[in-house]
Amino acid sequence: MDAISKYIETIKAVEPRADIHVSDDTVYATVSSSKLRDLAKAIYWDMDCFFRTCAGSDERSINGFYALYHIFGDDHNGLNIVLKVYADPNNPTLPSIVDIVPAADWCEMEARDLLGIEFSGRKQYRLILPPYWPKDLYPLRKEVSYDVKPQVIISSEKVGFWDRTSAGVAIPIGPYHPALHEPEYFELYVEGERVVDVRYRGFHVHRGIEKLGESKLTYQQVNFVAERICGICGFEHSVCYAQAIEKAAGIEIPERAKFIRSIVLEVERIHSHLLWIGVAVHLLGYDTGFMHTWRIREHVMIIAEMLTGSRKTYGINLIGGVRKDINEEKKQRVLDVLKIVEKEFTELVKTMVDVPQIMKRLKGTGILPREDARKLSVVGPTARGSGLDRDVRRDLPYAAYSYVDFNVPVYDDGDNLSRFLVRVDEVYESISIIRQLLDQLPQGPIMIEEFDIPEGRMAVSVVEAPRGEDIHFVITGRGKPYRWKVRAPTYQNIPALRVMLRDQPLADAPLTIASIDPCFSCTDRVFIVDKNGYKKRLDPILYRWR
Amino acid sequence: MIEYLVFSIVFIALSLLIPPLMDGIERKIRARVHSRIGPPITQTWYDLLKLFEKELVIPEGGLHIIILSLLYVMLAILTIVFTVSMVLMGYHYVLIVIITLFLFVQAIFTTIPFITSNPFAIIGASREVILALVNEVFFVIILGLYMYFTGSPGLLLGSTSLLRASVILLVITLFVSAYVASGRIPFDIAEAEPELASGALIEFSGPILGIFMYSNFIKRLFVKLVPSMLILLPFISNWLYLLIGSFIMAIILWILYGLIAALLGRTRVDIAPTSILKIYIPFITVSILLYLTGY
Repeated sequence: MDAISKYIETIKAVEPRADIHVSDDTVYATVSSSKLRDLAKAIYWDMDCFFRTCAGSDERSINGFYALYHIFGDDHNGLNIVLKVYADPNNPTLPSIVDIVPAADWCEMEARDLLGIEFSGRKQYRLILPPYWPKDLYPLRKEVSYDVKPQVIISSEKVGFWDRTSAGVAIPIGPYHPALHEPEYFELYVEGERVVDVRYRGFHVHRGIEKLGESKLTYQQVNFVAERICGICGFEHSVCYAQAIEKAAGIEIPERAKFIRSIVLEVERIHSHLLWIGVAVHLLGYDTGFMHTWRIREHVMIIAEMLTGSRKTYGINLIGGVRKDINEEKKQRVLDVLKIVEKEFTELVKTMVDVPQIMKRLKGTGILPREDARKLSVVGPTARGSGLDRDVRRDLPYAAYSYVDFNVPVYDDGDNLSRFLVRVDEVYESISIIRQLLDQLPQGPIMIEEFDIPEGRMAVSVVEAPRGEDIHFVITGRGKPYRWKVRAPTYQNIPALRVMLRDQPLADAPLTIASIDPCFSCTDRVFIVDKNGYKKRLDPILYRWR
Repeated sequence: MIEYLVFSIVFIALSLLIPPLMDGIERKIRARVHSRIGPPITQTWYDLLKLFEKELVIPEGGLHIIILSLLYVMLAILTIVFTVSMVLMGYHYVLIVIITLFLFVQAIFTTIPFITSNPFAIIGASREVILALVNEVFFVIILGLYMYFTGSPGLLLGSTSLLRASVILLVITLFVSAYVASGRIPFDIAEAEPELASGALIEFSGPILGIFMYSNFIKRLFVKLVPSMLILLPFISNWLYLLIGSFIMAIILWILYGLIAALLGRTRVDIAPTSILKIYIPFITVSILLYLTGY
């Protein structure tokens, strides 16, 4: 029996009335909410799947209901399993699966904040919207305009020293802190210099990108907004979105375009890992390592500029292919620069590991045990550093990854050193992948100009970004996506920080936070501009945070 | 007497002007190691002057902090002025007074951040205390043993008795102590910018920060000057030449320490004391054994 049949059988065994259909690598099942928890347990634990994300959707104009899609991933068999449940439009309440699948915590609360779907059987809290956002105004409901400006009293949010149940002295890390390059807030509770508990408050820079994509932009315009989700791994988001639409619409893009996408994706991975390694050693006080890593990173940015015309945020991706070709001259220059990168990076890593403080402080700190990594479905180097052998480039190959051989580095210790070594190894693997792709680059067009995107199609697209897998879930609409859900890797990895930071020295906390390579702008996705500035008053009626 | 006064003024002026310049040179060298161009060597002076021009923001802790900060800078200046002028005079009890003044400087430095209620400042200060408990205690022990081995609380100019292995080993250990006391990487754990957002100094800005930084630079010169004098002492028979030689050596040491700092990463508060003890205990033990066996 093949894997797809097994899933169909498992779902039918729990929910005989399930409406199941299969498309590409994804099994879709519409099930009743009363069977959701049993199915989640069967798929997540019995079938040993990871949890990718969940996405709420306002489908009242289509079928009269709200819907929630729980997306699971079977990396061994290269499959996605999507469970869809409907919620009553008058009282949208669904059973929570967070006690069975802890990784579903945030996406359930996101669906509550943005669509007003309540979840029974769990503690609920406001995750994304700011405390002063009006109650009963749900931005992703279709009747809410993308440019709505609610009448709210802007109040300063009191973060930190209240409602404290944990022992120890509270140490605020953020929203502005030298170790954080974006505004996020961690509250570490310490006894002496040992962290005993952690609290996290994020989503300070939520930009409403999904709403924009569903209401204001066209299919092709979304590519460029998707690329701006992140300043480091934007191309991954752009590719992930384009692939989702191509998959939903059944568009087969030219092979040469697939190769170019993979090449640029790997260039971006090398760039991102070099950036991270530099930041990590800077946090350990080794600024010489930081400066030289970033000097080598400059070579990679030269390659990016050569291939795309831009050092970052390339803008070459479209549904149907890419906009920029690679000629023979560029090919040779890329290979020459890669040689320099490989040589200089090897020398630098050798020097770094000889610095005694680097090894001492990386080894045995910020440990994420394999069981916790599995429970929270963490992704990317965070997962691979904790012994989880998962990489969607290999497990659910996309673009041109099925044409190349590469290793997926996995380390078992779960500490900061493991995550460091995963990234170091991946730089070499990416260099090798680019060489293989350039060597096999096929001839032909780079874009198909004419295609049709039918309404009401669904697709899940996954792309292995430097920090882990990006997930874009789309339901097609007329001229634009009806629903576009983005899940960045940091979204999945941040909850693991609580495990990683507990019982660790305070001095290692910034490094441990950095070890998941957090990207908060990817994670957040709304931007609220307060042109009048914050008042110093906290409004008790509008105050809804926890 | 006039000659003494002139030399005193020259050396005191040098002691007060050179430290920020040396920091500028260190920054320039560090930039070269990083393969950067770096700022001009006068940049640290520019930074200090700009800080002194900025508005005075009184940190939490109010007047106590301002008074203690002024005391800190005055004591730091007094320590270097006293060291220079007393050495020129050949004052007999110079080492005892130096130890006392230096301990006061360190005590004030570690006390000030505790007055604020900022948790980063308090953690930074407690780290400094832990480090000082090891380093400064051994600084006193080393100088105490030095006085005991040489039989004098002062500087024995040109004495060949200082060339004994036990004494030389003590002075070498003092160079390590000087590195730790200078607060450079890996021992900058009290400030640890990415961890504690400047830790002990987090509440200071403008002129108060300027005072702190300037005092720290003077302290950095002082901790290099003392072991430099002790190592050169047996080879020089003139107080003036000793001071000139010590200044030159302190400048070379400053550059060397800056280079070492550029090649290392930051340690942790639980690792730092044991790392230092692993150097001090064997060195001092061997030195005592050598002394007991007549070397």
